Amino acid sequence: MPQITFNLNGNPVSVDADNDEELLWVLRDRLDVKGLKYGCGMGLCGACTSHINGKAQRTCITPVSSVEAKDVTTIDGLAKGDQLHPVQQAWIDNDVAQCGYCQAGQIMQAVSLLSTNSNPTDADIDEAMGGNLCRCGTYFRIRSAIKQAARG
Amino acid sequence: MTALDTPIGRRTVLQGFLVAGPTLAIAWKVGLGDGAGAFPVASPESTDAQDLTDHLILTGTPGYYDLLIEIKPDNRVYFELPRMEVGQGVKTSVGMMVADNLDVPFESMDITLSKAEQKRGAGQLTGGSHTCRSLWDPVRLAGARMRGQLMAAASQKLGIPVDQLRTEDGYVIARNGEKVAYGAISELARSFVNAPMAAPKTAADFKIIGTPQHREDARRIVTGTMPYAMDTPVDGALPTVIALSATHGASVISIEDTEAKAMKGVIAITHIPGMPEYLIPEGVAVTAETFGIAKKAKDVLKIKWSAGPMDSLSDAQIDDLMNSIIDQVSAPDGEKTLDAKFRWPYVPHAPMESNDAVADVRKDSAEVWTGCKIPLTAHRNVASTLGLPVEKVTFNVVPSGGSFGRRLFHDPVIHAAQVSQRIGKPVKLIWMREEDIKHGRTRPVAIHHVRAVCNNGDVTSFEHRQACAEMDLRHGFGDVVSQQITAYNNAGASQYVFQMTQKLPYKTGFTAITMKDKFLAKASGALRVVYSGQVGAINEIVMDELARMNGQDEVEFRMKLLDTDRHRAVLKKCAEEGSWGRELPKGVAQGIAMHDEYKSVVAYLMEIDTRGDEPRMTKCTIAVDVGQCVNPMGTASSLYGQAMDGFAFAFRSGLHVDSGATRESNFNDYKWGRMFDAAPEMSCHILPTSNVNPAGIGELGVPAATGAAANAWARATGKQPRNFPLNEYGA
Repeated sequence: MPQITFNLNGNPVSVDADNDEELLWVLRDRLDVKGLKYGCGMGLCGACTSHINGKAQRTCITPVSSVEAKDVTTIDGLAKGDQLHPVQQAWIDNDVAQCGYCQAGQIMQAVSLLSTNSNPTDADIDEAMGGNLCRCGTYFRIRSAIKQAARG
Repeated sequence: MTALDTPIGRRTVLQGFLVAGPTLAIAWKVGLGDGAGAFPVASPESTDAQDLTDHLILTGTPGYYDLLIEIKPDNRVYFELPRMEVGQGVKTSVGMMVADNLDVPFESMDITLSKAEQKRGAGQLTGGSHTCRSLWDPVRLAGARMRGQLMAAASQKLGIPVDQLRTEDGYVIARNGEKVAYGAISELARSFVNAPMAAPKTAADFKIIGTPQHREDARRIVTGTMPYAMDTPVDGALPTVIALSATHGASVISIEDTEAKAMKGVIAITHIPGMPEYLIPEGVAVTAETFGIAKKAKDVLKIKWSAGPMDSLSDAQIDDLMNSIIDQVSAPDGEKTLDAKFRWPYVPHAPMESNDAVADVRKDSAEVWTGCKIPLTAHRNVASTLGLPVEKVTFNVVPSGGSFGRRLFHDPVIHAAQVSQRIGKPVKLIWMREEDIKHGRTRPVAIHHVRAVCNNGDVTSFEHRQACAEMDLRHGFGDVVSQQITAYNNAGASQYVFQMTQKLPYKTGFTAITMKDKFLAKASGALRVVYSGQVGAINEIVMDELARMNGQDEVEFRMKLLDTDRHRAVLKKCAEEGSWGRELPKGVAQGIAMHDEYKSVVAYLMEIDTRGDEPRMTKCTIAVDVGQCVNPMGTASSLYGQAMDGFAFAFRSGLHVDSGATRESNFNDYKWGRMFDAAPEMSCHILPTSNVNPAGIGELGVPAATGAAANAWARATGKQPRNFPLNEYGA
């Protein structure tokens, strides 16, 4: 079984896994990283969204071999110690979450959006967040939280 | 000696409150209360006398007074909520109730969910939107009792008479300024079993109840540290997925697993029986080092399935079946008659966290972890399938990523327990999304026939006849008796629940709302707001069409016919706040609808833009009377989410059945509302109320939201909403 090495939430890790194993399950089942969630397994819902070299990706369809030597950031590594990322704080301020299961992916997607677009319009938000499903229907507050985080 | 004065063991309900352990704790039992209603007849008026909320509260009351509230030495308050958290926010709202009634800061609460405890009888059900209402008086009285004991203890410790003491923010405070923390006298307070109870709080005393509070678990959610079932740290729990039948109700004939077993990382392949008497399907489980490997191995299993009992049925034949059992409408034509048929497809709950559970089964005992709304039935069934006494099974209730009714059922924990017992190792089991969409429970497919007759501008008769696939209620209400009744007479139970939930709050002359159902092998169940999601939405579509048929404004027509001032106040507020009647471009329109259930009344005013490829919600205004509102922030969040339910059910969501199999399998073909569907402008207006008790909120809005979406679409397009979802069938 090949060994794959990458940076996980700022720390180098090596893991034995087959090349085609999905990053989601390598992180959850082999490396005990639990913040990212399974929702669909086909890149349809966004619950597993994490960053690869700073860009939001669906880890449920990302082969682990493709992250060799790259930076992988999950929701577990977004805050700096006790200091929340501004998007996380905006999520709390707007009381976005209900069940919370999709929100790790929503937050990672929103952080990725704001890293390339510091002042997104409603249409920008619709497009960037359209792949992240929330069955509780928290979209109204997700939009408000993204706008708050953008205002800084 | 009163019933409140006998100390007993920890969390055991006999005839008193309890005081035991190192810290103060309390549990009570009181009588059942007044007015058990008669079994209702098939009439919407019966719910005015007694509805499902009343039934659940009457039958569960003895268990509701068994609460575990402990004040720790560090002044933190530990509270076990005997309910299920699925995102509806009950840990927060009931936590607020405890904090306020005990005079402690909400931030000092540590709230967890109770394990399944059979002693609760029927008192551990999360369903029917009755959590805050059912725990309202128990929490008020428990808080008053505990404050009484704490003041007695403080009086002794400080040497100051009780009448010079008060409680605030976790302290007993004397007039002279001396104060002592609850945590410092918690142990002492245990001995003051005969201390007079402090005055129970009323609305004027509340400092936390009625104020907007953030979710207690918000920080854990945004940092990814909120533990759902699959995050439970159980040593050695092995990832497990399950293959289910090709067509509904089929069984395994043979399994060819050579290729799957040869895959690296595959640990076991296990045929499990399920629990057919509870419609929990037979299947083949694959256990592997990771879920990814398990799923790949599942996909190469070659399972031969028997024919299923509904293989000859596709949607068209199911519709024929429904039309063959539907009650006939009977009223003669009047001056104006509306006679219309409607159809709803099967709709899955599809919570973001798929069906899952962890099980660790040993030779003589077992422990399981899962999200479960009726854990008492599930607990007994896990014990039964394992052949263990129920007291040898520990059933942990874990918050879950949504439910919408899905977690009323306990399919995954039965499967996980069966696999763990057979392979002798702990397992964590997920139904992959494909299994959950194809084989998860569903809101039943339904045909409706409505005939409403108007004379002289009044509605003189209103008949609504539903025919649907039989809703599985075998889970009962958690108690042994209802489980036995529902398991052996599900069709009777479905009639009972239908009749206990239907209400038409308008003056409509002769009114009959009835249901007939037929068992089909595709698993069904209660989905958010149960039958009213279909019946209530159609009632409101019909009210709109009757108004237009009589040449009247849709709001004015309702105002004239509504039963009570309470209903009229909600509708008026919604119409005012939503600027009913405002100018909008052609192709964009407002729609309004109401619903009355769970002792609450709600109205939705939705604006729908039909000019693009698909309808889109552009604005949503909600007005609601929820009785005593516990958490206005949580109330608004829930009702906004229910706007998305209504939108999705009206326009987008539904399953198809092809020759006994469900066509859809994941979120590519099962479609739900997304960010671009959600209105950027939403508001929720909570009316002041004279009702001192909280009412239900967690599913209340779905019929009104669905009706408002459909009514807006009808007014924008000039078409009649009949066959749902409208994006597919509304042309």
